[in-house]
Amino acid sequence: MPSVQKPLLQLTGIAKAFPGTKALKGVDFSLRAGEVHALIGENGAGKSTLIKIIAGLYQQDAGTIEVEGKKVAFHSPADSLEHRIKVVYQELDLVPDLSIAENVFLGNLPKKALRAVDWQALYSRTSELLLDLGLDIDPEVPISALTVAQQQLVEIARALSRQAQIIIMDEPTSALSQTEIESLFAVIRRLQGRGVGVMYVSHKLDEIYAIADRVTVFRDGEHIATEAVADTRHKDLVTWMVGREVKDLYPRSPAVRGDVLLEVDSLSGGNIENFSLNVHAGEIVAVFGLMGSGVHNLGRLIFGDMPRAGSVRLSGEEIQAQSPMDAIRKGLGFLTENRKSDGLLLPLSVKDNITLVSVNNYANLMVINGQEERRATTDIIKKLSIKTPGIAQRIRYLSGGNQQKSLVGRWLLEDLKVLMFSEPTRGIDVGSKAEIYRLMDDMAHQGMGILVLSTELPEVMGIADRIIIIRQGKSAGRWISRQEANEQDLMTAATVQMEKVI
Amino acid sequence: MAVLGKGNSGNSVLARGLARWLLTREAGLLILLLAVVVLFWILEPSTRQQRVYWDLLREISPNLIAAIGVTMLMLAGEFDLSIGSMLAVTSVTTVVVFNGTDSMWLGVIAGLATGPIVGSIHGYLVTRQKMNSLVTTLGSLFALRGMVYVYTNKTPIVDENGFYDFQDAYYNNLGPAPLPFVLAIILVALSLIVLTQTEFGRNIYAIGGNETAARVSGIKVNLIKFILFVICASSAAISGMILTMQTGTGYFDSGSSGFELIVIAGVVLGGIALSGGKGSLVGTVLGILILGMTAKGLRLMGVNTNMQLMVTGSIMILAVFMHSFHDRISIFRKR
Ligand SMILES: Nc1ncnc2c1ncn2[C@@H]1O[C@H](COP(=O)(O)OP(=O)(O)OP(=O)(O)O)[C@@H](O)[C@H]1O
Ligand SMILES: [Mg+2]
Repeated sequence: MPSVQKPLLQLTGIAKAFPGTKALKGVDFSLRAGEVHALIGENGAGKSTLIKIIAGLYQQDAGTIEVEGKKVAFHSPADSLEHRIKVVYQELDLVPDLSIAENVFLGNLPKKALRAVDWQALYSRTSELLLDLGLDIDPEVPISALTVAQQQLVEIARALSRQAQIIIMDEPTSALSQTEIESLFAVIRRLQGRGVGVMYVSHKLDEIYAIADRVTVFRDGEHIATEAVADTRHKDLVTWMVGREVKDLYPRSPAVRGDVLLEVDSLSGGNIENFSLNVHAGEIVAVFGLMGSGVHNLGRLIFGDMPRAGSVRLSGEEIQAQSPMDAIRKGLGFLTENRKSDGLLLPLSVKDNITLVSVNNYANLMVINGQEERRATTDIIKKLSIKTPGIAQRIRYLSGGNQQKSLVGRWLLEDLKVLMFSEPTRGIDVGSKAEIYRLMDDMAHQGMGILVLSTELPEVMGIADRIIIIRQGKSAGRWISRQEANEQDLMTAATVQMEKVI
Repeated sequence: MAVLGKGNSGNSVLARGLARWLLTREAGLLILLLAVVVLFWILEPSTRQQRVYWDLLREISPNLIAAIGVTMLMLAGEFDLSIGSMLAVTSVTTVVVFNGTDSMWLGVIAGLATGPIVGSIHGYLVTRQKMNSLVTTLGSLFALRGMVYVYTNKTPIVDENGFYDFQDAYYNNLGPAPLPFVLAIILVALSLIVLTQTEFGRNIYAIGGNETAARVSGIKVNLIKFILFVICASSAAISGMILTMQTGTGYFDSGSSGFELIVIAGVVLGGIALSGGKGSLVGTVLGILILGMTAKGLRLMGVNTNMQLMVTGSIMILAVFMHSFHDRISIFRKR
């Protein structure tokens, strides 16, 4: 099916090196009008780097960019916008205190005489754009009042306001609920129908099958394959990405169930009401809920990072409310879901980030033993195959997935009884996912209790021995064992019926 | 690394280490300091005597000591603007207690105690009442100075006992080194160990790097910040004590000519990020020395104060330029 038409975007031989890393080693990528072209690859494969080059944030060391057959050079984001390219980053770049309308037309406000802002035109044009995207919302509302999914639509509205013909999305669905993902896909299809080309980066392979026409795989900065999605098996995608077959994504093997370790009794706080659960030694327990169900708040409440009522006990000992310190001392760890705001120490090194919790273990008479600390860090980097040029690299310069792995590693170094993981594999590639699940399985076998809080159904079903569902802050129904779990039932139980009415 | 690799291929480990060190922030500052020294050496013959440098170190000691506290606080992402007013509080308290009790030691203890007291108040307001530290300490900058003015009626308080031991401590030496500078170096060394080698120090950087992350990692963020406010005000109290030794009077205007700004300027010049989490105490020391040397050199040259402002300002801008350049290339040494 060779098309006569020139591709909208043609990248040829793009290379980009950072000190210590060759992020891209001469890759090709093309995008046709009206197609969704997915880009996938392991963490650190160079996906975000390529996007930043197209966005004009970085300049390539070698290679050419052509837009509609004409060679272009992007020196700044403005150059890229000029060619009607719009990137929707995962960390959205909206101004929270400005209104939706002001954000949509930021840098491009409609003007009247004397360069005064034409507010009327601003609001009416924004409303039109939003309605077009299926978002019926007052354009004067500030961004900070919107959900992540709505903010993403605002970003897309922004793209439309500039008549973007190329829209690029970097892991857009990682913080969206299933329904939100579906409405995003509906929007993407509509854009597609109008001849917009969409480049789509994600680690969720089922999404690729749902939305993409073609898929390109990168590994280690190299182009591995570009194929029509319809002709590609799931297994091939994984093999291309990881360089080997991932046989067993969920390597859960039953462990001996020991004494109860974590007991949570009638916990309330935030939007959570009266939630109880327990985790035994040797067990992996999951709480499954949709975005906004309170599944993430549950972790904060148990850990003591939010005011709470009810009791939390670890091996029979009460954990003080509002004291993460006490929780950790008694043996409870907590990986938060929000890596940028609650996890990463951006100005600090990979090492300092990884040893943040466990640093006292390498101290003797208060002075830190640097050698031991470095050894522990190197171990974690190997174990989780974190891609970094060295332990002193600032964590800011790691790829998203490698930052996430470092945060997982932070908790592996501390000697704990129960580890709570909130969205442990957000933004992580398949190969590393399997690795993290294997580590969880190991920990359970060593007698730890694992509590997974997740909005990812396959993950929950794949790894947990027991599952409980949270819906609107309350537990919905009874415990479901691994054998009983089926996708349909879990999803129905987790979904609020009212949502369907709206 | 390719660029660097070529330069030292075949050289010893030492040379490579040196090359890598030359790319650090501190190396840049040290070179800037040496450049300032050499420049004055050429321009102003009187700076060619050793005595000038010992004097400089004596004079700069109060700034160095206050800068320790400011650095620690800023690394955790907080500020204390009131340190200039603290000097006067300490100074007046000390001499008032001298005269009231006729005891030198009681005076010194009382004067130093003002640090933890004021620091605790700041710590309480910021950590418990969630007040912004910049605004809170801007408030106490004025409030403390006002208190001192009201209490002293703007007259210096003379040490009626004439505690010469007290005053001598400022002018005495240990070997060739001025006593205040010896004290400053000891405090710097201890703080450097705390900042780089202990969990407490690590936690300070962590809090400045991302406070929420630090909290959910079990770090007692409020307690540590509280302690830092106490350390900061206390280090200012020590500086105030040294200045009181110098003059032997309780001086209401001690530190009123922008002491806090000069110290913060030195700290920022030394590379401590305003947003916290980034920088080192060694940088601070170099920053303070650069500003001190510049001021002293210009004074010796008899340059008028307007000119001094201009030159000092330009040096600051040069240093900040250096830092931003350094940030761009810093990944080179991160191997
Ligand atoms: N500004 C930078 N400075 C130094 N190294 C960088 C920088 N940006 C990216 N890198 C490195 O380049 C490589 C590619 O990173 P990139 O962010 O493109 O990966 P990615 O494919 O988006 O991965 P992920 O799936 O984890 O998001 C990584 O090894 C990363 O550490
Ligand atoms: Mg990425």
